[in-house]
Amino acid sequence: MKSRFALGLMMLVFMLPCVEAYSEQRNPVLSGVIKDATDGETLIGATVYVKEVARGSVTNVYGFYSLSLPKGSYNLTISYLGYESLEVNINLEDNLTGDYELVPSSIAMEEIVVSGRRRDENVTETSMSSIQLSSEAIKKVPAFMGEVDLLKTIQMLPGVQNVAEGFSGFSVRGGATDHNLILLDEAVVYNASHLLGFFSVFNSDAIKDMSIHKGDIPAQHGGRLASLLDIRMRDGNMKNFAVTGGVGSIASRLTLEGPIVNEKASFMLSGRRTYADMFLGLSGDSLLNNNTLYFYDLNMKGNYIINKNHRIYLSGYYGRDVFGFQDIMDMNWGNATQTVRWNYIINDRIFSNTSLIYSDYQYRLGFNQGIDNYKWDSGITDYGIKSDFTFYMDPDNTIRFGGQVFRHKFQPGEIRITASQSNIQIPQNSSIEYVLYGSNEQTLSERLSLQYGLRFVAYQNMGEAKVYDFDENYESTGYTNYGKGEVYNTSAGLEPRLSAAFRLNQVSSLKSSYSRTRQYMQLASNSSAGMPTDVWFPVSPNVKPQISDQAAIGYFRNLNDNMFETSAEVYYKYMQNQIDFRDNANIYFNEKMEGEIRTGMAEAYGLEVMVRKVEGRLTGWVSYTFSNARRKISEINNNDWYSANYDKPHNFSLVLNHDLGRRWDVGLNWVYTSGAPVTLPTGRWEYGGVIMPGYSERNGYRLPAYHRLDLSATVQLNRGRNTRINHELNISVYNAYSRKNPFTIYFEADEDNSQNMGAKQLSLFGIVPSVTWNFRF
Amino acid sequence: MLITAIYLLIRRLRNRKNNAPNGIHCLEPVPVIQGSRFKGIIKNRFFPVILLLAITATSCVDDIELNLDPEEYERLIVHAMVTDTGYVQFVDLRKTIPYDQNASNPAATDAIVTIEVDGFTYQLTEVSPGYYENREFIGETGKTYILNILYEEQIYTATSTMAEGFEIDSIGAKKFSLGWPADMPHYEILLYGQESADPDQFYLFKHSLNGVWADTLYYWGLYTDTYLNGRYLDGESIRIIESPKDSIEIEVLSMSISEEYFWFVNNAIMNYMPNMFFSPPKANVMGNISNGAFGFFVATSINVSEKMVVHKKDFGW
Repeated sequence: MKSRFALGLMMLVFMLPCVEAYSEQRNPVLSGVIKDATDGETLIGATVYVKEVARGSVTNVYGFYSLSLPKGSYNLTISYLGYESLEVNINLEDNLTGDYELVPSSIAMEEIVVSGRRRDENVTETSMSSIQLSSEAIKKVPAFMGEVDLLKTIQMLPGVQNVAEGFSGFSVRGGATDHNLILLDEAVVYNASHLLGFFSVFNSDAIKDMSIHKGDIPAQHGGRLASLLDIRMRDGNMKNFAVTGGVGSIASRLTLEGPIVNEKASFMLSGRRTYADMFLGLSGDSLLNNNTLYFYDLNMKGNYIINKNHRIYLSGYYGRDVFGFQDIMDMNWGNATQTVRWNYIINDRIFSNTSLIYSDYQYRLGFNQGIDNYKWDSGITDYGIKSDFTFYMDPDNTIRFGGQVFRHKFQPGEIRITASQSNIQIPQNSSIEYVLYGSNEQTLSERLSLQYGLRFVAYQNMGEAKVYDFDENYESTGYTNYGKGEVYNTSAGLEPRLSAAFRLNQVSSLKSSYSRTRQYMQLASNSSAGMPTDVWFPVSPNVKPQISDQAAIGYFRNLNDNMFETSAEVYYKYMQNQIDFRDNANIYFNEKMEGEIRTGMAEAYGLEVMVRKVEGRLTGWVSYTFSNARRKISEINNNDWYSANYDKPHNFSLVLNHDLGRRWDVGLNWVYTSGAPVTLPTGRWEYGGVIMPGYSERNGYRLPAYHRLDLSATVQLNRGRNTRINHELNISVYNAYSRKNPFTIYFEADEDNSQNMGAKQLSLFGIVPSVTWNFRF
Repeated sequence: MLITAIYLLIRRLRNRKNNAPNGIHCLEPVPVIQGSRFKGIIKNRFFPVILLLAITATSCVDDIELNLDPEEYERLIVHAMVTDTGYVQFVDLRKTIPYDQNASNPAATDAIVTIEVDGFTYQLTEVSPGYYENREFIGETGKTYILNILYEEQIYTATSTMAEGFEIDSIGAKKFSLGWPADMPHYEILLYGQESADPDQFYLFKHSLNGVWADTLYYWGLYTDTYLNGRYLDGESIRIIESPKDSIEIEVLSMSISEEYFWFVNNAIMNYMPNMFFSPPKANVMGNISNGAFGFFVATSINVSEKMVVHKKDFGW
């Protein structure tokens, strides 16, 4: 298998000279980078449009574009939503570098809620089922406890469901939470939650841009069934030193950025910490004080433009949650990521990026009472390299290809018992993932465009490992030890991706897509919402890769000169080798955990309708999703179909932001979803003096419907004054009408009669007001 | 489950309504598995307590009316035990009822119940409605017992092998500081004894306070030697309870159990706790009885400790 990959990589290397040779024989090329004029940040998805040939190019995630044209003079229009368009005349006789800067439109900057990147992207882009949001857009949405949260915002997009009230975990089109690939500057974030899920790890001040792909995931990405959430950090202000920050009800944050070498190198450093535990310490209640609970995170980025063809980025994230309960127990968990990227513009048509990536998630649980003091460590670590190439062959074809190799190291658990000075360890294991991919975005005519690609992944489990064998009854029949570096299992498969867009006219299009995705690692989680202690584990001789096939079709139309974007998509998704755990499974610290797994199939389908207003004083979106997601897993629910945990058929979201004038703007969210499925008892029996529930059907009931209104108002405190410091005050109200939404239903015996079991509904949050002061200078 | 559990724990601690026998205030049950406590602790109620303390400031609990379907079929409940401590072996048979029917499970009467061992079959007699017993034999370590029940033309069977017992050398008590509430001192009951050198032994511990056995599921303690085999239990914590007002007499018993029963009790404890997003999917806790019956048939070797009296002043409270 290794030799095949070597062959593949060699082909990749040999392709480059051919591509280069091709490049030199063609029309001259206009290429360059589009930036923000105020801070030098590259703009992702800006359009360079040539009126004379009615063709254009869109900047990639590094702000680069390339466009080959016949020799001649042209008028370029460079545009980006929220920025003043730039008109440029060029005379193209030979290859030409055109780096341009766009000036933010002062009015639009304050009004845009959803960035479509370019004005007609909703209609013209070939791919579908994806939505982009800028950091500015996310900050406009009313936030829980005033803490702007990217993951909470995307939960209000069609097709994305939250896992529970207030939680950052999300499900996309019926998928599980571990079916989402979350990338921060290309590094995988394995646990995107702080405080057990109530906040996400992403600091909005450090984020430049994010896009979510609910299907039709580009061929260069994969490894998860349901979605790609691609988050990019800010590069750092290239022109001026700037400080941004905020003081909120639960956390404060501070971001420093500026040039290291003017217009050549810059840095960004952003930190955040909560301080609720400090207030708890002031309490006179012994149940509250002397405890620890906080999180912090740090985003770092630096970049250096070596010359016009080479640029290097260094970025990293480090975050931790720290929890301690008296002297009894402590726990901390968190992610660390590092990415080193090298942009190399090989020639005017070929852009390449090579990244070295490190990603790590660890948690430690300690119990400090009694004779069995112990520390429990677990985690996952990735090391990898990837190279991506974009070949702008001609105005009608953009070819992307590349490869990557990742090593995943799994540490299921190690326990150190203090008293006996002994260690107990579930054996570590590791795997290597090889990826090759290629795709082409092709314009066949003015009306029809295609994007097609193929991704090949081979996943190899490597020793040192202890692998158990199981019979048809999931009973262990023995095990095999594999030596260090020994490959004992290989899973491989192709993942085709195809999408097509047909322009009905200038303002509307029909799109369709099909994609196959495969997932080679998953989360051993026996709960709906996920816990920090959940453990990632790979495919193996006992666990097959999960496979998803998704098809979608949609109608897209823009109105009022692209002021309104509308879309309606229908999708169907069929998933194989889906994983669940047997009833009452023991998945923690269990060497034979694979024997607890049960597999089956799942399907999801739905309709997503969205109307967005992206310009004007009033911006926002309204969306409705009808969906169904169900599963059929061996031995579970008597082998019958049952509703997936995130199956909420009706989901409605309204997100609005209104600029009231010179100083004020206000925001509003209203969400409505069907109640989540829940398993409730039908019968009862008694054992050990306790009433035990008897169940007849998994997820056979639903919680009451969920709805909530959030409001926010932001006032600019120094608007119009000639001062270097800009600051604003944001007041948010979460759950404004204090709806008692069910977090869960449980049963409790009467205090007077233990036989009398009453149903109780726990609602987590009533009305939650918050105040945040933000500043920038 | 965690969040709800913490919420309930806080409420109960503050309300102090959970009274144990003889006025001893016991803590809210914590499903700690001694010896392999790390398995239980990740699901126990201390875990996200502070977060929930903050959340409880805005959270609330309301009664809710549910339109639950009555169970579509009736199941037999079996509680059966063979021990080596006396000549009374018993089987208790009940029937399930709809969940919202607030009553005791009715007895399953007129069943034919036998236990087989070493080729002999012993008939159990119904001495009270649903309660069957036999006084002709005593359980022995290493022997396998087969339970047969014929009830309403349905046959139910189960098998259990009696594992080697755990000899308790002594018990003790130690001051234990939870740190909260400050005015509620605690102590933990400790156990001493040599655990068997044979691997994969499982035990269940129960305790009594002033002669009253705390024989409710969530007061039971589970132990496995899966990760630390054959060690001397030199003060294994059995239970944490509130310090007595004056003095209290404590007794501990150990039961050797099978791995199957170990997980049955563990799952029963976890299922007793409320439904929650952090909790495993709710599922029936099934034992070793065939034909879909609830409950368990366990053959167990029982050892009881000497009684010990704990004085409040011994711990400086």
